[in-house]
Amino acid sequence: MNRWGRLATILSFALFLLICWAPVAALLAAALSLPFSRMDAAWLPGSRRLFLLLETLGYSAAVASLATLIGTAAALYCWRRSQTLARAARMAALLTAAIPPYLHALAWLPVSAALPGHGAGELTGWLSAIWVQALAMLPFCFGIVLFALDDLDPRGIEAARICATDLRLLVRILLPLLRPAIMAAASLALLLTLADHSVPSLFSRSTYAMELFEEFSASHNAGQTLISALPLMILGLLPLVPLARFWQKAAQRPSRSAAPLPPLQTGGITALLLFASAVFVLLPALALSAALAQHFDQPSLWLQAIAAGAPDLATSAGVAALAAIIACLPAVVLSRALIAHPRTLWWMVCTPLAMPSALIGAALIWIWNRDLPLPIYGTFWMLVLAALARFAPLTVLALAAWRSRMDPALLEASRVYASPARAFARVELPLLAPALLAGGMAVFVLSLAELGASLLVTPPGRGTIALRIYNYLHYGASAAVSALAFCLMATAAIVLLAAALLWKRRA
Amino acid sequence: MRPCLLFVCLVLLLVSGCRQSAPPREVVVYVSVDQIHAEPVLKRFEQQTGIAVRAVYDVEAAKTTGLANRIVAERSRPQADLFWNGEFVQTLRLQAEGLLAPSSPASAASLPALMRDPQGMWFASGGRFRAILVNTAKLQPANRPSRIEDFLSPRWHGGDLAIALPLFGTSAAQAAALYATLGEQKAHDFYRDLSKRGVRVVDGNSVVRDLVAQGSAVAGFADSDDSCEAIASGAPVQLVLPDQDGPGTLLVPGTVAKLAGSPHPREADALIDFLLAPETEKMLIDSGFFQVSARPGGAVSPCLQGRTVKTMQVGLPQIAAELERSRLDLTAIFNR
Repeated sequence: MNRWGRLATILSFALFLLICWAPVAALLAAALSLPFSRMDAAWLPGSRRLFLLLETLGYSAAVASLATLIGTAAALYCWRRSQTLARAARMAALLTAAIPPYLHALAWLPVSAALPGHGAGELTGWLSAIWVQALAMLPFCFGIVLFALDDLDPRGIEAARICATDLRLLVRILLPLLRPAIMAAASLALLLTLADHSVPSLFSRSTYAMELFEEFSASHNAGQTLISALPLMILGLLPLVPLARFWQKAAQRPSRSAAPLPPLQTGGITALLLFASAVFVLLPALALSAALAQHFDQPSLWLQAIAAGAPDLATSAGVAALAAIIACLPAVVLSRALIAHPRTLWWMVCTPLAMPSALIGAALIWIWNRDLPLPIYGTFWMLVLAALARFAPLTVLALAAWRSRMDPALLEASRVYASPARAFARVELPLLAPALLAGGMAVFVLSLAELGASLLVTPPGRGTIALRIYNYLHYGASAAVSALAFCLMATAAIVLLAAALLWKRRA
Repeated sequence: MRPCLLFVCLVLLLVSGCRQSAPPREVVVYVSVDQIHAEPVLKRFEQQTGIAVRAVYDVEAAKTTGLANRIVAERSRPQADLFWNGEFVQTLRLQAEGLLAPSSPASAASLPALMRDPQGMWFASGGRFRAILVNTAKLQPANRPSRIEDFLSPRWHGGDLAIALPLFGTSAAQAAALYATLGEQKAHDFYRDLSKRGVRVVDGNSVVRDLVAQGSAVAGFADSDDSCEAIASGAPVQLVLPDQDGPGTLLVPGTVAKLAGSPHPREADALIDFLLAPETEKMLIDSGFFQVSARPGGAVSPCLQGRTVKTMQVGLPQIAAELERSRLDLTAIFNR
């Protein structure tokens, strides 16, 4: 590695540490500055908090189980069924992944309100929240399992089919082979659900993540909030273990060609798998369409809401675009390092994903609300920093996964005939372009709908569209919410479709 | 060509992130009045004065303390000019911390003495009541609670009654008012008995409203705005203004206050004057956020059906002074 290469490595690590680890370090500093008595009081949860933690864990586990079950079934049905179906399923996964959980809630709030016992808040509220959050997690679970299915060796499956029925193949071979992927899907759903408080709060249920948000709102003490968050953070780190195993195994395997294999024919089970696919593809779309169409007869209210929300949408889009671009910068170098040292760097890259969003907001306030040469606090950049702190690791993972499948001979050959800088610009970067696009889009879509950290760092006069929708949702599913939700989803869909087209052209 | 285009886009995005190009006349307001109600008011102010309003809205989950704490955290470098609060407790807390600045808006002249600070640190604007919401399908008229103390009556099972956790927002203000009027021991006994009876303690007033509207609870303490919303939606509920034959119902006024070190003091004065005007108060009563004017003989929400309301005669500073003590006591009672 030459001098410029070393400089790029140092700068990339520094940038990643600044955007993802500075909040963690700030929180640790704030926690260590607390008097011991307050640390003790915050760390030892009372019986109510302990119960809340268990409730949160139960809720997250239920969401992860449901989403993984339906996602796996849908993936098994769609696997090698037909090119059209596979494409449609992938596109549905892509588009529904862009719908934030609180928009699914918009569709299901009226259904939940009509259920007997609504407002009793106990079981009905939890069941509604589990269902809605599971719908939001489904595309991720479906995507991971389908990726793993596509990665299976077709020769082994073909051989097994000679001796056994498809049902036996499914139970004895496919499911055991898919176990790491299923665990990874469940872990991801668990991780994302533990840190989210938007859906349960809309169904009047409280979670530990919400408790942290309330605690910081009430005390404005980031250190104390971190100590209170430790039980949740420890729980959040556990799912990273199966995720790491799956990722490392997937990255080491060469990609397989899609050899022709007939789809699974498992009698009655096929009907169940088909049902799961219908739940995955049709139900969210139908529910959301119904919710949006409910207010189509009030066009003037739609227009008013869109006019009021347009500046917020512009702010959100600006934040998401900047976050996506900036997140790609360190990812190019960091992904290379992650391939070389997966065991060491996996935790550095992924631990920030386990941070509850409210904590990130609290940490950013702690860092930037002081006299600094860069007057970041109270500006639009706080929102960008919040989005980066939450989602920048995703670009590193996307690039690392892509790099592991790249032919190293291509890079070696380019370095023989060109300077390192030229080889990077003319060969490596174009080869990485699809992964940069995918990682950037993931950050864009998630940042566009980011809520937990933005709630705390929104600058005066610059709200985000997610914040406006969330505030309005507390008054029920109105025409204004429908209009804003439509704008948010349309923006995400347009950007995703444009990215998909770009990807296709490149391929 | 394409890298150039990308560069131009990046520069435009970077420029859009800077707020230095803001119009010269602006005011920064932290708003804990619900966004859906506050936004049209601030828009009208912008149209009338040409002063740009940069607002930060509190969220339901922060229970009005979020922005007050943000003001405390920003004390060394104030960002906001004024605090427009949907209640009064946090405003008075900021006053106690020396974070408010005096002002003398013309439209405050008609406010009664209880509804303004003598030094001009804060002013009341509109108000909501702490009411009892009753499910009319579950309780016959003769069997409905009419006093707060009725929640201890054996006529109703504890689990059929609901209150919001009295540590936040208007339910905390109600608790502090009871500590101020009944005395610490009586108020402590009241909440301890509520807890012992197994009265349902939920996370917010809107949850109480939903419980009563759905019939999962027969009655609950609620804000009058939530109660009126439930009535308007056709739920089988009735708003009861408690203790009309006793000390009266607690009025929770909204408050407006200028912040110390306000970066735009003149614009802040203009907005305070606008927010306190009777027309603005009426706008908020019409939109359903307030039910009554802070001025005697002012506008009243149709939801109150022309009733004359006897309000609890206790000063807002007196209530605010009890808040910390009541909060500590209630934390122990409700095991928080």
